[in-house]
Amino acid sequence: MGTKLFDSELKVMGVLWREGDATAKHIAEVLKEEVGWNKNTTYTLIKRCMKKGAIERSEPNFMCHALILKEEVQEAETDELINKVYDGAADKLFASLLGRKKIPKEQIERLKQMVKELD
Amino acid sequence: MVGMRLWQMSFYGGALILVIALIRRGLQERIPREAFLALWAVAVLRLLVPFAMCSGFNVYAWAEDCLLEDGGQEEILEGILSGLGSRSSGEFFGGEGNRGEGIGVLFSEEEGGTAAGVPQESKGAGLEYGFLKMREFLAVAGKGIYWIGFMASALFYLVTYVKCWKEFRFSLPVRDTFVLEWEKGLSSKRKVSVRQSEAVAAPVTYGIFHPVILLPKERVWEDTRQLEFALEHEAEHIRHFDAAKKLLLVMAACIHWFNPLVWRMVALANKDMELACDGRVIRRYGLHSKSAYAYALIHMEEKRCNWMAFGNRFSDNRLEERIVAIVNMKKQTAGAIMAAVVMVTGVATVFAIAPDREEGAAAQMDGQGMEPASDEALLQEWYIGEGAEEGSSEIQYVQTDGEGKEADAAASEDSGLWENATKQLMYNISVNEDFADYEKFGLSYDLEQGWLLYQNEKVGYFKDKIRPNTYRRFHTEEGTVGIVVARDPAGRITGLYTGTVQEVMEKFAGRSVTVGILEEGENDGQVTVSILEE
Repeated sequence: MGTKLFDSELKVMGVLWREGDATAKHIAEVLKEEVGWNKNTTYTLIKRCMKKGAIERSEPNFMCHALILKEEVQEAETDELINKVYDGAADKLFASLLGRKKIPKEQIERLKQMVKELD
Repeated sequence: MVGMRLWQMSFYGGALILVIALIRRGLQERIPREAFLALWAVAVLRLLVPFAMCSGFNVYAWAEDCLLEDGGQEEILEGILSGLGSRSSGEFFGGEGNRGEGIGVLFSEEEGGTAAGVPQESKGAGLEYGFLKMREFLAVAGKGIYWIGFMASALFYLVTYVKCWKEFRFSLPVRDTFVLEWEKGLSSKRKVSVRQSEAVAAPVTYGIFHPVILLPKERVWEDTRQLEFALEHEAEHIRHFDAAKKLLLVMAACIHWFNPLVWRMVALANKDMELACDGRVIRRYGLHSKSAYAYALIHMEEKRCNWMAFGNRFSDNRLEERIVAIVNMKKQTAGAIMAAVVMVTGVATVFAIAPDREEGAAAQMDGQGMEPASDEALLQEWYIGEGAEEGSSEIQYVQTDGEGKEADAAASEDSGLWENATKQLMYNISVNEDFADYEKFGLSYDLEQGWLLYQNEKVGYFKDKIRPNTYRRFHTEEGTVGIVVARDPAGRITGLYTGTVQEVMEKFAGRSVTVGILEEGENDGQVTVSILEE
């Protein structure tokens, strides 16, 4: 079983795989340019990767070293993340095109039928 | 302008929500969805702004009047708060501090409410002290419960917000050429960025000043047409500042957490925002595109439900409601738009006006028009609704028809007429059969000057609550003495509270306070007074 990482974490790993060991500061600079994250966002992600055992750091300068290979990585299930974010009242705070609940197939078929009758 | 208390705001806001919900149910697709959004905005304002315009007639006063027709509500609602005061200095002890307007008055509700049903005959000092303590305790407990509820709701939303924001910031830019093109073509004063996040299952928009559209990582659309619909839908949210509106709705819900109608409003208004965005997009692409749009929604939902591994399938009426709304969408006729405008203005005017409890009964109109200061037989008494700004031209004159029933009111815009009216009122008071009761306490009427006098000084402010909801009151710049008539619970005059016009007005003007002067002190001629707060 490889380590499961989210896309955001993969972005951080990507820098290390591409450029070899790098300081946290350097990673932050690269990712600011590339995806627009601020420094703290990148640092948080580096910490997450360390927690998952994907990055090892050493002093000085918070030097980061990738512990896993690109091939070993698995995509993390996003369901958990989505549920974590949406279990509260996110739809009351943010506009969302669709709800969070899963809808039964029969209901979806019925709705499709309703639209079809329109034509 | 009149300051309102929280419970008033909540009650009137709730009534408004109920009406909007009913209109919404009745009209649905027949008028533009924006009309409901405008109505919700009125309701949110009513719930969040502790001030309101004043008027003699409004629907709340009317409703209250119908509900409490027997006029006995004063006795029920009136709490007794007694204190000692000295007549000469005009100082009151034990009364509640000055009630400012605005936030400071938010909690008077518990204080007034908890004293309900206190029998007014209980004048025993010990008993009254007991009630006082109980009221104090309940007031504190009520405030405590309110704040706990408020903090809990606010914290709940804050935690959700922070949690989402924390995940959302890890979003990645979208490299899709179609999206990039679309982003470029967007005309908005704020820079809108489209990003991609694993934390969302369907497109989400957040941010007020730097709006961000988050697309789910998984492709939930079949073609760029569907993606375009999704992006346009989100862009409509951004153009109409829906993020800010949602924040205001949540604020209203937290402040009025104890009011289930407010929560209902949040749900309905959120729904209406979605429906309005659907409508705007479809209208922009032409009504013929409504089936494509509806299908895109259903398809995205289907895709989303398929790749989301966890979670039970629930019947979600929200999507169904939207599809039904889209299917039933019709071309907006000028008539429908007109009807919407008329309806919104109508509801807003009727409900946005400040309710004024005491004015309530007095201001009810029964259709008998009246000429001010003319027919003496008709003009037995003038009653002025309490609570309107003193001396302002908005003050209403209300006249009785002899049976204690209030007749139509005619507002005076003209200050000259106002002066005459005050004189007329003084005359009317003097010829009234109960004037002798005032005379016992030193009030007299000077025929030559046409003025009410107290110890040979001209009366400048006069207020007497002759019965619940009915006041005899005037204020004029010319007089020097301010008088508030004290009555015991049975309605008998027990004394006059006097002072300079300014002193007395500071205490009593515009407030729902009556004074009951009870007995002469034994030694120094001081008078024991109790303030009856409503």
